[in-house]
Amino acid sequence: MPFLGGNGGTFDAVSAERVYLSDIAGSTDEVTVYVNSDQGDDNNSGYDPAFPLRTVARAGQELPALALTSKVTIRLEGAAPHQLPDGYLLPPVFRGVRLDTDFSDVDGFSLRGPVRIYSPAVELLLIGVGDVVGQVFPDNSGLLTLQTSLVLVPGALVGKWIVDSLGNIAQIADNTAADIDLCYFGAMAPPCRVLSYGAVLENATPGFFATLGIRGGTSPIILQGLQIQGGGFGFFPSLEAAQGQPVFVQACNLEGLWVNQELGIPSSVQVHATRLERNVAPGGGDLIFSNCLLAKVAWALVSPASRVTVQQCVSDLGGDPLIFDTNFNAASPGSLVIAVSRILNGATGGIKMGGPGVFALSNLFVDSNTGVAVVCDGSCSGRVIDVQGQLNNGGLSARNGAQVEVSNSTNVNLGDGDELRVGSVFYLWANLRPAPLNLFDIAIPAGELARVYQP
Amino acid sequence: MKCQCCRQEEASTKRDFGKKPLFTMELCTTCESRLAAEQDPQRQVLLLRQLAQPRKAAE
Repeated sequence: MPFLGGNGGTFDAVSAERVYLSDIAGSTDEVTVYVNSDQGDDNNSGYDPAFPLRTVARAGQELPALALTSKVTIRLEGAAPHQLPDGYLLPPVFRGVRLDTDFSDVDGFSLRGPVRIYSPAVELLLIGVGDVVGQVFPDNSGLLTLQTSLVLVPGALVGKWIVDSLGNIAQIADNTAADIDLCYFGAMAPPCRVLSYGAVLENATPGFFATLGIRGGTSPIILQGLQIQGGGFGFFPSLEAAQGQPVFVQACNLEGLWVNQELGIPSSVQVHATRLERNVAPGGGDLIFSNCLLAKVAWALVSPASRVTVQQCVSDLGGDPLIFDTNFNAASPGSLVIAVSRILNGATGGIKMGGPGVFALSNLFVDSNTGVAVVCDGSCSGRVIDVQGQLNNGGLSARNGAQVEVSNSTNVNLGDGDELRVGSVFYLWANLRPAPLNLFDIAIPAGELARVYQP
Repeated sequence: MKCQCCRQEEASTKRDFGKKPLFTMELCTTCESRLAAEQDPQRQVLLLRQLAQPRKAAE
């Protein structure tokens, strides 16, 4: 019996590329459907840039048939918002085609795939080689600050994205008159371009649904350079993916992102160099954020079957902590990985892990959260490695059975209040760790199930 | 004021969703009692959408 990826019964290792490589003859054909919210007409063909369609929904009608033989790009232009009815569903596309990368894209993106909905980016600023006077990493997260000789309006670049000469892409977390904080680890290669979204997708009648729903298809859908406004009640999201649908979001601006596990089929959503506001609901499946700005994002409706990764991101909370609590439905544990990121300005704490999940927090700078920086509550277990910080009201708290591994560099400055709390007992890191440290069970008070240890 | 969910009956009560709350709606007794029976927030959202279907169809 032949194996997947094998040939004539000979075993061959299955790679991710082979799984995606279900291209058939002719799959390299590419077709672009043009949509213009100002000058378009749904009676046009849409295949000629001079005769664009008017609505995304009309372009969506073409999608299933076109995608059978071609890679499809839906290109959105026009200053007016592209209106979608509440709960619009993109027709599902059933055809695996692999993803490609193109780091030379003049429009400022790097992903190609079977279905791509994008708008050409608007260039706001060119940062030349001579404009960059330094590249520094102000804290242990390793995130980059670009020092320039330019005179910028403070905060004006927040929520835009930057592309360097090699095609590396990241969100801009903040800027002063000369410095630009990036959601990016390592140095960039100038010249760099600062770009913004070229089209807006709007929910025409915001209600109980997402503005854009993508579900049930097998082909990955790529969204690039779009600002997608949220659904109703300040709660329902811009984008909802469900029923096994893979979605890649690059350089977008979203108000809410939900990943739902309907019919028991988890979805996989990867979000890159995107600004997310409002809320995120990891309702099952894989959700990966990289190089993103999470601005005042509430973590809602977390399902235990979720696997969430946050890396090279800035989470500027401004409200609730980054809560990953799977307590409400303990069918199976979820997992949370946050690495190489900053967690800032939470009103009631930084990160709260709860329920029967596993977690890894690594190379985080947790700063200025009113409340405890990291809380591990309930039957969760995980690692808190090189997590540092300042100006929080409390450092690390483990309680109600949480099992927490720490490292030497999970440091004394995590909080300005109580540095370490295990159950109801408080400790100071300095008292637990005469250097060099190699302690097991650095804190496990009598009568407490929670435990903090350092192997 | 009409129920913000079904938009058919008169609203009689305000209901918060989520612990914070995440959002607030004015509901009729029928929608309120059906939503009150569901504790799982994800299922509440699905139920909300089901209850809103007649309105969506009417519009």
